[in-house]
Amino acid sequence: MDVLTQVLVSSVLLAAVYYILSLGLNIIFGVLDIVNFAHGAMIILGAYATYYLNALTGWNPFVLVIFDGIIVAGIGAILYLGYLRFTTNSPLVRMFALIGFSSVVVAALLVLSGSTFRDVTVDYGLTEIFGVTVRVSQIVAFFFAIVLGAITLLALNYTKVGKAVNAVTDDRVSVQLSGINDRNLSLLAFSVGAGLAGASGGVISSYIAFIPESGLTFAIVAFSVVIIGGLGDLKGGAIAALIVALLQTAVNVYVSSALVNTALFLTVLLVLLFRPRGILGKGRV
Amino acid sequence: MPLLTCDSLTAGYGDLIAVRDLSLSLEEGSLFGLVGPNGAGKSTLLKAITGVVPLRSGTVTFEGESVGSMPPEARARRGMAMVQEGRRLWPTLNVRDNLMLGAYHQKRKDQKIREEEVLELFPALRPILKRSASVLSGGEQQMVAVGRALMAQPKVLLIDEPSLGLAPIIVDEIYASLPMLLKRGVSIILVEQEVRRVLEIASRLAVLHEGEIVYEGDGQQFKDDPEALTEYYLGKKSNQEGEQ
Repeated sequence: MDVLTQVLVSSVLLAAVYYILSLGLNIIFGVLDIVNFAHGAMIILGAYATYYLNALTGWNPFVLVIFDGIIVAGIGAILYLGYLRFTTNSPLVRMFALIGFSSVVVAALLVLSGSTFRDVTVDYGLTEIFGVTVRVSQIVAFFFAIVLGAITLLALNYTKVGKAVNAVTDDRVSVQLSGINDRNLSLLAFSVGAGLAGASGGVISSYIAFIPESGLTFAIVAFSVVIIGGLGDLKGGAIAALIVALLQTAVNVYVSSALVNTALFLTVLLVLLFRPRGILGKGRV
Repeated sequence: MPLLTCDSLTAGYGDLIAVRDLSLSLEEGSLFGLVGPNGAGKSTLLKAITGVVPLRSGTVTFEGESVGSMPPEARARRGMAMVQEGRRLWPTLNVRDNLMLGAYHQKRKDQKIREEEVLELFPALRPILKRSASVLSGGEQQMVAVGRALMAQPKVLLIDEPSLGLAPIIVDEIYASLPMLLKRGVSIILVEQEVRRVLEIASRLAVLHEGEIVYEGDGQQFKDDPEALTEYYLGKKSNQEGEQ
């Protein structure tokens, strides 16, 4: 089996998941100018939602993805309405609030579930793509990610509300002057961003076992994708997701698994230095 | 009863008071011209009327209702529209979507009717409806900005420096649309640097200096001699009671 082909196939499968992992972070930043430091916590909430719902209902993790999304979107809405909307003028307070929220989530999950790895991975057996052996569940996860990403992008670009959300990203005052309630759109964007994080956590749980602190690992991936793709640039994010997946897989296969994160941070650093607006140059600084 | 009244309005940013104890009223169906040097508070006044800048004190009354503490979108839904300085379109959207969002709360069918009305006013927009707003010329942007404001069928339109940075021939086109709007029943407050253009169409004129009105009248005496306004511009003269 050709090693390069293996790297490529694995990377593409991973990239789609990385994209939806970063999508919520990107939307929340674009619309609200909030760097969601609770993104990792929201992802892991989604994963644990799968675990508990699965224990309760016995349903397949893939079926539960939608419920994960709804639950975490609800938590996001409460967080936004209850606290974040009062902090528009103090980014520092906001940052600490989100980091604090993350700590609370991780602590609560530790109390609830302990630090043992929770495993709801589904086993559909193995198959071959271009001569590369892959798990079928990974392919299903890939398609889930594609569908989730596509629905989000279609909704953003082709519905009236989605266009209004884009308009808020462009110029919030013009939105207000057009008689549109921008605060409702902010709430919507934050909930959708949180819901996407939760749903992506659900997708990930279908093939990776996790502990409460795993959120950090996923958050690092999501932040890397968003920075490399350009803050708020959803197209750049798609390319960045592929870059991050390729980089991680290639370093893992050709160099050492110990250097995966080092290589990732180095790449992020280089992008920040030479392409601060992301690879397409369309993100914000 | 006037359509829109500001009474003892004071507004500003941080420590800066940009508009001070200012009162004016706009009669329905009329065009009120606001002129004055840079930094006189013209833009701030428009922003205070529409709610983009909060009032420090005073009131804004629109159709008999006090709107001074309402958020901008609530005032917009009551029939106020504003074309901001620098157009401020949504560059990631195309021309049609920029227009459509101006009529966000209307049914799709009505949005189409509004769009057709705007295109009648600015036929130049018809061929570029699908073009991204990020690649428009300044004149096209201004037409979209005015068109977007009209989509909501406003009762009053506040326009901030429509001629800024545009070629005279384009400005002519924008100004040609204003009398048509008046005819359709839209009342207008126009902020402008080019006094001559305002004098031609305004039924009421005010000169702002350091946040206060130093001249208010029909402006007829300046039509042949705009230079006579200079004294007011420099704040050396005032026809307002209780001043100088």
